[in-house]
Amino acid sequence: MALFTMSKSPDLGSKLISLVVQQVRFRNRPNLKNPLPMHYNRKRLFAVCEPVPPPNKPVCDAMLKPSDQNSVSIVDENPYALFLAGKLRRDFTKHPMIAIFHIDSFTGREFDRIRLMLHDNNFPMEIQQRVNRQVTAAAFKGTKWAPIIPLCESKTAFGFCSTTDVSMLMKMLKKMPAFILIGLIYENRLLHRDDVDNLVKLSNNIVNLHSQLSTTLNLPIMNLTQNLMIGQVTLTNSLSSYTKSQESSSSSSDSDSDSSSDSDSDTESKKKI
Amino acid sequence: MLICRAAPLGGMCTRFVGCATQVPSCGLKNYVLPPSYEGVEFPDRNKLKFMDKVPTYPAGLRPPKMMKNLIFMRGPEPVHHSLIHQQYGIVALGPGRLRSGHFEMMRMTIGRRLDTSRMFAIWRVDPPWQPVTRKGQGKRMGGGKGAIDHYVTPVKHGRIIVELGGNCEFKEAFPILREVAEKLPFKAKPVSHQMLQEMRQKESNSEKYNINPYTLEYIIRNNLGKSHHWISPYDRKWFGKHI
Repeated sequence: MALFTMSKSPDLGSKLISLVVQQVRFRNRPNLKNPLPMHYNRKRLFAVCEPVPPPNKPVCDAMLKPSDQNSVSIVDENPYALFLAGKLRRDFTKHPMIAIFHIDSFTGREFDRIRLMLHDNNFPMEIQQRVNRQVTAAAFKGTKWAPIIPLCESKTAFGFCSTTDVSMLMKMLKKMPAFILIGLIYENRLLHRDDVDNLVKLSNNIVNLHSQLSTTLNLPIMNLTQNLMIGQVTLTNSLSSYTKSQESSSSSSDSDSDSSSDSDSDTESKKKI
Repeated sequence: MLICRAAPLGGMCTRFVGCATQVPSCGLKNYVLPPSYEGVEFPDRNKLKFMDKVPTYPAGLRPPKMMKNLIFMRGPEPVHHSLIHQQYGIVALGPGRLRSGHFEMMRMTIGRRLDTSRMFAIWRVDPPWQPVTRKGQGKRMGGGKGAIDHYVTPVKHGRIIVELGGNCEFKEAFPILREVAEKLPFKAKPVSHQMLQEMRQKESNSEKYNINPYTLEYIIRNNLGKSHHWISPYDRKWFGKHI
């Protein structure tokens, strides 16, 4: 196919008609398996005509709606959810210390290591991963534990501890980076994270104070008993020494009369031996 | 840490081992019911039937030779572009020709992996009918048209090649169909009815919600940029979608 073009040459100062022959852009018989690459004009046209989606088209409607509208009420549909809510309430009354964690992502292997670590350190903590938000709301709505419900919005876990050793809990938590403490229920009191740190310091001091108090209380009693013992011993010693002295004086008066008979009896006993 | 999975509540009971125990996570499990296969009609034979390499002609009739007729491969498939049983199948994503070897490959592969008690497969293409001629090796040009070498079935873009169905899910049918699709002489893809509908919907949406005022159809129809100088006659029909 030939194409005629008009060009203006600045040197000659006149229009020139130049004959530009272009190659055929398409062949009669295309290779359907391996088509030829597009020539420049065609490629340019395809690039210009690429479809452009509208800018305000929502990608995902679910993200725009509030989460409550999206979710189905599991508690209303499934009676098993009510059973789990009751179990959660019982667990809260059974254990003296309950830790509330926000959990980051972790693998199953990491969790196995955590459980082994707890077992090796003899720390009795049951971890309930990924607490269901609706089940928690059904369990604690209208009760004294209602403030816990907002804590279970995101990924939350409960750690049910049979002991009240907070310092040990903090030690264990240092080796559990995926578990972030956001609250603690200590002896039926909900504590903030800062309150937990104060409690740890207090618990360390309390034991020392207890021991000091007990020693100071015991001190006068100990002194008294000691003095009594000393007095008793001295009295008994003096009494015994007095009785011995008395005995010795009485025995010395009788000893002269009995001395000869005693000596004969001694020599006979020696001969026999 | 042992959790009793045989319990009717799906793992509620726990055994205490030492000091640390695991309470089952994720308060509720949503068990998906298995799909129902109502309305699935099984054909007479579950496996693919044997396809003749050579079409039968009436006695006395010389097998006719034919032109190349690439038009049988070009363009979109107008008729056989949807699944009859609305389950699973292989769709061609490009033009090509199927030979008897391809048919045998498909028949043996699918037949080997099919569970005939609950699955079936059917052909959606004709047996080879288009003659392809070939001259002898080293023969000079001229001397008439070559002899018929073999027969082929031309396939267009969007054609359904094989359908697979029955009491099975796409997860089960996919590996069977993929094994076949990868060996075909053109680009092909295992699809389900839903996937096919989504593909068509996506294509129509991209055209419907396109805010670019310049489309190939508009440019070609109005000869913008002197496009008529270099577009092919098939661009006037298919506007660049097919070769």
